[in-house]
Amino acid sequence: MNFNDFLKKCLMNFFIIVTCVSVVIGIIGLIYEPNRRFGYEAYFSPLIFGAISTISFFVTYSKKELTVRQMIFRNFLQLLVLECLILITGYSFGIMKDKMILTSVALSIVIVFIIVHIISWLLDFKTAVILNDSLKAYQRNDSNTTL
Amino acid sequence: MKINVEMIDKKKEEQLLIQCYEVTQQIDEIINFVKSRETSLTAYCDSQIHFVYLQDIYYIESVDNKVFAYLESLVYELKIKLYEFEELYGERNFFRCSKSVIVNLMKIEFIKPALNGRFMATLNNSEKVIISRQYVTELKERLKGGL
Repeated sequence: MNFNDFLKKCLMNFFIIVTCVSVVIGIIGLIYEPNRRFGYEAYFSPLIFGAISTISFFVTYSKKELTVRQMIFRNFLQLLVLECLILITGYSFGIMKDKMILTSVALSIVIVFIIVHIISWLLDFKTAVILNDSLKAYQRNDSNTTL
Repeated sequence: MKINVEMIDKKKEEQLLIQCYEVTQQIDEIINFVKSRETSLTAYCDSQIHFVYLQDIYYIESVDNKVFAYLESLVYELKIKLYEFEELYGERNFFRCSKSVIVNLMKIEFIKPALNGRFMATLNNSEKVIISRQYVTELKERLKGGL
């Protein structure tokens, strides 16, 4: 993937993350501090966290095609960078002072990260089934027409 | 063995059909003879010149500005650029599956998901080749003709 395509992918990821962060903030807020009220500046926090999370994708970028092992390592590294960036930012801005909230957020990031990868793998598995069926038909077809 | 020669229209593809009870050594010899009349490439191994049949190539890889042809268990260097190979033989069961690899579709055993939207093709000789995310749609289109 060239760098321009990678940037486009990052932009897409940014908007997805902003939506997901809004949902996670809503759920965690309702559980731990349901009566807390925020000003208009609160609307910016999903955008800030979205931007920070998008930075972590740069860990996975490579001009060369990575092997599966290298990709697993980079994904693990991405999760670590993501955790560090979000928790440090949250703590610095005073959004996540409480130990309980810090732990919940850290755990939420891991869960969301795993769920996203599982869903992505399941979708790819479905594509792989279609590709295998088409491939077998292609090979049968070609064997019948050429030696 | 009865021999039939049928004249066909030029619009149709020429083919040799062998109808036999079992694939004997004699049949194998006929197949090899016909194969030997097919396209072959000049390849190099240990400063020696060899002729490699196109249908015996599993995949072509470009490494450090050199292009290698991988057969079942042998590797030869080709004096041709990867894009030139793609232009010349892309129509003949060869498919660009990543920036540096062109795979023979007839040699793929099965495809399974790798990480981050990529796929891994396991070849008949158990070697594995990565299919980049950006080439997956093109592969689907290419294989559609086989269904």
